[in-house]
Order: sequence, then C-alpha cells, then structure tokens
Amino acid sequence: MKFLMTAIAVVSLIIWPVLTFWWLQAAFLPYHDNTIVWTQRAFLLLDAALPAYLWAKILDDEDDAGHWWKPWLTPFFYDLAKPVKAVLRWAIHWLNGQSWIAVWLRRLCPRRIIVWLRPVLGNGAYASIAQPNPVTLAVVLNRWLLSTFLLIALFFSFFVSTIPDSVEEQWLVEQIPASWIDNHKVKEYGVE
Amino acid sequence: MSLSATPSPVIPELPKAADMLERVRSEAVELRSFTITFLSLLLYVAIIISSTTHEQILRIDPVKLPLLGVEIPIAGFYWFMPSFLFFLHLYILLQHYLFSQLAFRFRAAVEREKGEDTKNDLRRSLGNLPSCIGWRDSTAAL
Repeated sequence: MKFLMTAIAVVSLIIWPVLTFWWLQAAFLPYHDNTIVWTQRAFLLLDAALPAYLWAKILDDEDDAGHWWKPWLTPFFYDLAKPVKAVLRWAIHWLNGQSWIAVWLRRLCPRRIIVWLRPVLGNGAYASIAQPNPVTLAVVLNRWLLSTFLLIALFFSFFVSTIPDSVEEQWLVEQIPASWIDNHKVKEYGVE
Repeated sequence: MSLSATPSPVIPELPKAADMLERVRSEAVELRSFTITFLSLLLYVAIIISSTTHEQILRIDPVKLPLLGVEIPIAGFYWFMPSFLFFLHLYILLQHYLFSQLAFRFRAAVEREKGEDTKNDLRRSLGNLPSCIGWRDSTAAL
C-alpha cells in the first residue's frame, strides 16, 4: 500500500507535470516558431528544477534539500577520494615504521599537537583497513530515478524536439558523426 | 534583592500530538483538494494537446476549450500555457512542502508520547487521508 501511495504521489506531482511540458513542446513543434519552442524549453528547465529542489525538501525532515541529495552524491566523492586516501594511508604506514621520524616529531612538536593529530592520522597498524561504505542501493535508488527522469526529459526537450533546419539542429548535426547521417539518407532513399 | 525573586525563563512547551491532530487532518484535506484540482487541470491540458492536429497548426485555427466551448488563438495557448502550468506546479509543491513540515512535527510529537499503545492510537486517529499521510510517511523513510 505504501508503494502504491508513493507511486501515485510521484506520478501526479513529478512525472505527469514534467511530461506535460515536453508534450506541449512536441505537439506544437510543427508550427516552427523558435521563440515559442525556447520559451517552452525554458519553462521545462525551470519545472525540472522544482522537484530537484522542492521534492528533496519535502522528503527531508531537516528541511534541507542538500541533505536529502547527499547519500546519492556520497559514492562519487567516496570513489574519487579512494586513491588519495590509499596514498595517505601508505604514507602514514611508512612514517609509522620509521622510528627516527617519530622521535624527531616528538622532539619537534609539542605533545598536545601529537595527541591532536592522532585521530586524524590514525594508527599505522590499522591504516590499511578500509572503512565500510554506508551508502546502499536502496537509499540512493530514488535519487537515481528522480535525477535520471529529469535529465531524460531535458534531453528530449533540448536535443530531440528541435525545429528542422534551426540553428540548434544545425549545431547538433555538426556534433554527430557524418557516417550516421549518410547511412540514414541511404536507407531513406532506398539506395544501397 | 534575593535570587529567589528573579523570574525564571519561560520555556514554551512543545505541542502534543493529540493537539496537532485536528490541524494535520484539516490541512491534509485541503491539500487533497488542491492536488485533485491540479490533476484535473493537467487532464484538461492533456485533452487539448491530444486534440490538436497538424492541419489545425497549419491553418492556425483556434483551440476550442473542452466543456467551455471558448475558442482561443493556438499560438497564444501554446506560448502561455507553460508559464501558467509552471506557477501552478510551484504552488502545489510549496503546499506539499508546508504540509510535509507539519507532518514531520506531528511525527516528532508522536515519538515524544509515552507508551506504544498511545502512539499507535494517534497514528490510527489520522484516519483515511488518502493522498497525504500514506506517501508522506512511506517516502520519508527513504
């Protein structure tokens, strides 16, 4: 029942409104008015930003959209930080093995700084043990689905529903490999 | 002047769940009405879009609004409707946001109550709030 309620809310407050914006644009594309199409695109962009911000605030009990998105963003930063952390752990492990450095540090630094740094640097003996990643698929799945849906809607609005021979379509054609377009023409005219 | 005469600061008491119950229920009913109105408008716009033909666009024939029978210029409709829908969508999401904050406060108030039976009674007292409490609680856990 909870799943059904969630599905009703998501469809009626996110999917249907955003799709209506794209439908308005696609239905009126044959009119070939670039000003109207760009107005529709601008409002689709604004409307896609609404769920990204307000839906996150609706679901977050701390009233913070960034807090809701955080578990989704964490894996990226976690993976990016992995090599840096590995190098740091190796360096700390090596430093801990050098007794003369420890003696030199103790002589040079006040004891308070050593005590303060210990939680940050960790113990060399345990430094190579990786911390488990608390982020699970279940937690980030709804963030993935929401962001994917919004990006797909924007992709269709900006890159698929374009006016033929408009400036943006010309630009788009330039980005696509020429072989794709040539093959399309060959099939279209039935010339093998 | 003795210390005992100094007035102690008054700490406002947090609202109890039972006192919040009626407010949550009435706001949920209002939100349900807003949501159904918004969905009806989306359906109305969907009917207009699906009835627009290529020939109509080519001839620049006006759009005839269903049920009302009023004719409006086709270019004006497709130019104006996105902005109108955007502000309505913003309004409905803001209403849901305000309600969600109230629902969070209610949930916290229920958690402060003593005894599992009392908590369950309060949860059940919310009754049949179809579009709000169910999804609110289910999605908050995610």
